[in-house]
Amino acid sequence: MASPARGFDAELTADTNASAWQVRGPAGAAVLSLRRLTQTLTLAGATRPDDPRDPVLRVRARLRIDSDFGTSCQPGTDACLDELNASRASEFAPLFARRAVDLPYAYVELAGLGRGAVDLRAGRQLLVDPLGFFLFDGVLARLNVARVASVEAYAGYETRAGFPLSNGRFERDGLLRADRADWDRSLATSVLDRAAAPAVGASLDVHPSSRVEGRFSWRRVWSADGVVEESVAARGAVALGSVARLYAEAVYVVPLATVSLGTAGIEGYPARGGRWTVEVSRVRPVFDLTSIWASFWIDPTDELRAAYSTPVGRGNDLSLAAWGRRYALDAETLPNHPADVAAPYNGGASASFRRRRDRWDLAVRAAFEGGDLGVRGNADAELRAWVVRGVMRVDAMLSFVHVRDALRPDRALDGVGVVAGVMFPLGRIAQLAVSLEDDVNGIVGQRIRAMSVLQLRNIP
Amino acid sequence: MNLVRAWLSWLAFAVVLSVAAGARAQAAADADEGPSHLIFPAQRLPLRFSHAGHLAIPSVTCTRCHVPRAPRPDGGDDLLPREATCAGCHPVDRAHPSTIAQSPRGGCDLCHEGWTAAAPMRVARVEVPVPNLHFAHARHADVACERCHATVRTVRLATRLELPGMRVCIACHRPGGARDACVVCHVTQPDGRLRTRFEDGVMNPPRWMTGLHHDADFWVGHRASAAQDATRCAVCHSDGECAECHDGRARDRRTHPNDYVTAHAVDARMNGDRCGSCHRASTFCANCHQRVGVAPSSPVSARGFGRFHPPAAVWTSAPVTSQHHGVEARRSMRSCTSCHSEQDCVTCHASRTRGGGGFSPHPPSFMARCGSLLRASERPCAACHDDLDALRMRCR
Repeated sequence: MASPARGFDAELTADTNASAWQVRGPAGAAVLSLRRLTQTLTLAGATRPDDPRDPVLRVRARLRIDSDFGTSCQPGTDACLDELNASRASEFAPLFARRAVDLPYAYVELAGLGRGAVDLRAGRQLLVDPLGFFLFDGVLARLNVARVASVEAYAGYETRAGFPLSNGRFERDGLLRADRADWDRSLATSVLDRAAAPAVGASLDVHPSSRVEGRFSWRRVWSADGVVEESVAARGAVALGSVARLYAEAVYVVPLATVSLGTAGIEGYPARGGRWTVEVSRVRPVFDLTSIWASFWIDPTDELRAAYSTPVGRGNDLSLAAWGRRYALDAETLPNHPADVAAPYNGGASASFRRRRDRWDLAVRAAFEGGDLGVRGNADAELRAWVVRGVMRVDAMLSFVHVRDALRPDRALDGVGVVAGVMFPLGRIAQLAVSLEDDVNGIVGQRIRAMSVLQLRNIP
Repeated sequence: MNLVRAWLSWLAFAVVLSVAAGARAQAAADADEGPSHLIFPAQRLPLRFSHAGHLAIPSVTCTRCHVPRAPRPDGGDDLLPREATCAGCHPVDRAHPSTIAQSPRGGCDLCHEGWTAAAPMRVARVEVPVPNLHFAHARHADVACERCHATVRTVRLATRLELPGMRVCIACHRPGGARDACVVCHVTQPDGRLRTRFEDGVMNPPRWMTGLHHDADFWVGHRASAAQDATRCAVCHSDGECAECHDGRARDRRTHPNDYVTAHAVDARMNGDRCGSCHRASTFCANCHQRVGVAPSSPVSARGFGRFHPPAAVWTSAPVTSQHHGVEARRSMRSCTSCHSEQDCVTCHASRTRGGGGFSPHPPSFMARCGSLLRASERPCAACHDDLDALRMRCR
């Protein structure tokens, strides 16, 4: 019989993130001064049983208010964008919201019932599995079977835009949905009415030994007009002793009869520490089946990637990677195709070094990718150092960027950016970070970005 | 040729920079490779002592000196011998500390480094911080000391290097063995997750935990770990940490350094799917594109900033070249949806009977699977086609 819990510990966190920056339109004319204030309130609590094998009750919730105070007017004129306003159709921007309130998650979980056999969760929850992110309002049950497998099943409604406290971030791409009850029907006809989307799904997670693990996932979502989105996924890994591991993954979209993701790779662990990986993958994006994009001709992208990470002394990591990417266009099937329409290629390499010490962290990163689609290179150095331990930390970053877009030569860019900031712990419950960023490049000239983050934790 | 030269230059720069930094770090690497400094913080032991010497004496056992006592007020398990324990063999006359007893030798400086007769009552303080761990020697009384402190019989002063690493613990705390939940040993936060941030740094899964160690590039490929078992991530990470990055509201300078807003287009073009892990093109991207006047759906007041795409002669008109919008769309449809609504495409791609140009956007093999799509939803079909009955016949 489970012993009674010793108590319930909870932590309340409030983050306030303010930033101000400028954006110039791609054609170079518009400069918008943007200011954003994002506030989040997070509650995380759990019971503390005497015996770790006893059930634990957890509560998790997060509320966010995203306020946009930036200008939305064309410089030099009085023409401004506005939220939904039927009387000013020419200024109407359906996605532009001054204030957005949403609930990224809020659930109650009872974990470890029956000596760890069953977990139950109810509320708004973000699911992560081989099918990707899925945010839904509903219930989830997990059954752990004899330490070698677990079965997970869930049902509820996918969290879609247009409903209160929902921003639809994790909906499939392709459509805009909103509560159009108060809209003039002639406005923004491309925006669909909100509609509830019931969903069910299940996963089987198997790990018959410490060397083998696998996961199979299935999900079905009923959208408006009877559209059924259904996907299945499988991923697995097999350890080859303690020196290497083979893994593979595939996601299949049933109505499209398409594999949207396929990955296979091998990961090795050298005796002196570190890790190397060689991986091939094919990705074909899938869009909301209610949209026309789902039936468009979409070619996959293949990637071969090799990476190596190694420790270089205590607290230091060095990572190197190289990749080649093929955009698998099939020229033969193109109507009126000329000879130059062939599968484009890009290739790149990156190197990262991280040094962590008691009083400071240093990260140096450099990456370059180039090929038929353009060129991008960047190099960054980032330092965080305590000037007075526990009192003031200095954050600094220096970065360079180099961009050449073969399709849009006028967007060529070489830039340098500098960030300087400080962070002050304010007692044991708060910290304040302020930073100023100065970026200079040929397209926008000089741009300043200011950011401040205030965090309050363990609010009584 | 210029591209190759630029590519090689950048690659050389990256490799030289990283290797130089790595070599520098290796040269400066701390020789102490013992257990985690976060779990067992650095100690200060200004003592002279030889475990090897003492344990060579038959009558001396571990428990003769290390007697379990009540936990310290700060929660630590206190087994350090006190002066009285040592004085049993090495007598010290506190009234006359300079007096050195013989056989066996006594006196303060026998054990305390730096003791001088000039300041006889002053010795350097021994500091053994409480480990960031739940552990009670009393509950492990049936386990031989050397099973965890394997090298203690061979060293002089036992330091934190003689403390066990996690591998030693999970030899017993494994599935089917002693309790194996992380929280059995690791300290937790109020919400039940493991505490990972300490004064001296951030806790990271050890390298031998295959695929879980967060090395410098872990963030690039952490999807695989999360997809396999997100509950494993949740032992340390909160839902908020996922949401913070993956809903794209807060900018991470590591992924978006410099003036990323101005430079992002080429990234989206080269690898737009990666953008999709944090940004939804149809909302997040479209919102900004609409606001700066680049989207066709931008309000009239925000438009008129010129053409973003290449000239119509190559972008939309036949013949199809590598710069034709159809080729770009097939390769990077997500980029299209970051500005365009369905209606922008339907205008030309609808059937002629619907007033469009009749340019089919479907792939060559589409007829083989259009039935399942039509059954899933008629809406997208009806956007371009008039006669859905005819479609149903063709798409069986």
